[in-house]
Amino acid sequence: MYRESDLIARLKHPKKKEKAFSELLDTYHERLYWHIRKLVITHDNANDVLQNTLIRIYKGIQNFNQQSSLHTWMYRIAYNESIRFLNKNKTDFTNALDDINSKYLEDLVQDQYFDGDHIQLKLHEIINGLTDKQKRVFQMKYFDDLSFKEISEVLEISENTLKSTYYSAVKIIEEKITVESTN
Amino acid sequence: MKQENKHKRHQIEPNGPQFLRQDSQKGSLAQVHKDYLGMDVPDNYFSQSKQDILKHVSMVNQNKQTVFGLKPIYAYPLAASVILLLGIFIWMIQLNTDMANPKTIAVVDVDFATMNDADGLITSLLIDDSEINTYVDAFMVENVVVDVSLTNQQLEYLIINSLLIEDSEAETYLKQGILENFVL
Repeated sequence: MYRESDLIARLKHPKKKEKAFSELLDTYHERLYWHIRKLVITHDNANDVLQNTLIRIYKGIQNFNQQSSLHTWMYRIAYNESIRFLNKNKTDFTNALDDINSKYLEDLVQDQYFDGDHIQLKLHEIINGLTDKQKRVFQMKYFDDLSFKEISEVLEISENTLKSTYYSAVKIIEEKITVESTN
Repeated sequence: MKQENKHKRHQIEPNGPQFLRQDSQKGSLAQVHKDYLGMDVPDNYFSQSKQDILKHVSMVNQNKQTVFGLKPIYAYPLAASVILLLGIFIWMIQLNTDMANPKTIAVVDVDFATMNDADGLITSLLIDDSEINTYVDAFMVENVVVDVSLTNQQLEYLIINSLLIEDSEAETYLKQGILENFVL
């Protein structure tokens, strides 16, 4: 926390801001990227959303009031930017759940930076078949390594709800992937 | 039955260990995403992306902070001063041009003969040099050249009269002289 408050102070200082922002990128750049990538699927989309996110962070740091931790605030910006991107690119025919799933998998397979086998593809399908809440919680907990407290601040859902949601998601994934392996 | 993927990234056993690893068993972020989700990134992506972002925010910073390379608090008053000086300069040029070409200035018709010296000097300042030259030329012609011509002409008449025509006046003078001097 001490290091974070020191970083925030330097980020708000006009002469120290650029150097401090470079340090911020060293710590959070890759983490934010993967958080976004799982939401928007392809590398090119993730790159675009990441650029927008980081610029928003840079411009908005002056008004950051430290009601939450810095990296929670950044994850929230990244999440909102990703959702904004998805809503912008949503087409009418993707409203049905099956259509959403097939569009997701279609985009995934067409991405030149997807190098998965059928098991990984199946995992994507299973995760994408979860409810929105389950999917977000699972991705943030398992892949982004956020604590329940941090996920609670990003998604604005209580910690207890998140914990039960997460464990349900894990159970579903384990069951489905095991079934898949026996088929 | 064990099932391995082509890259042997993870194993799925129906009655074996969990598919999803514990936290302590997970590798780096990139490794986890590659192993489980098959997601990869271009080589050197993060270092290149970082440079691009830093360049972009540096430009944003510069555009925000300076105007013509100066801080706004100095730039705007300086720009306003320059514009004001330019305006005054242009106005002064225009003023000098109007004074040099006074087409709209009324020609002052003055009678130099009735004017005293002081008035004449002051009035002459208000009249364009070309107008004065025109007047002087006219004055020279009318008052000097013509007068001289007339005077010459009168002189010629007197000479001719004295040579060709009986000089009655001379005779009259002589007679009076004789009468005065000899008789009286």
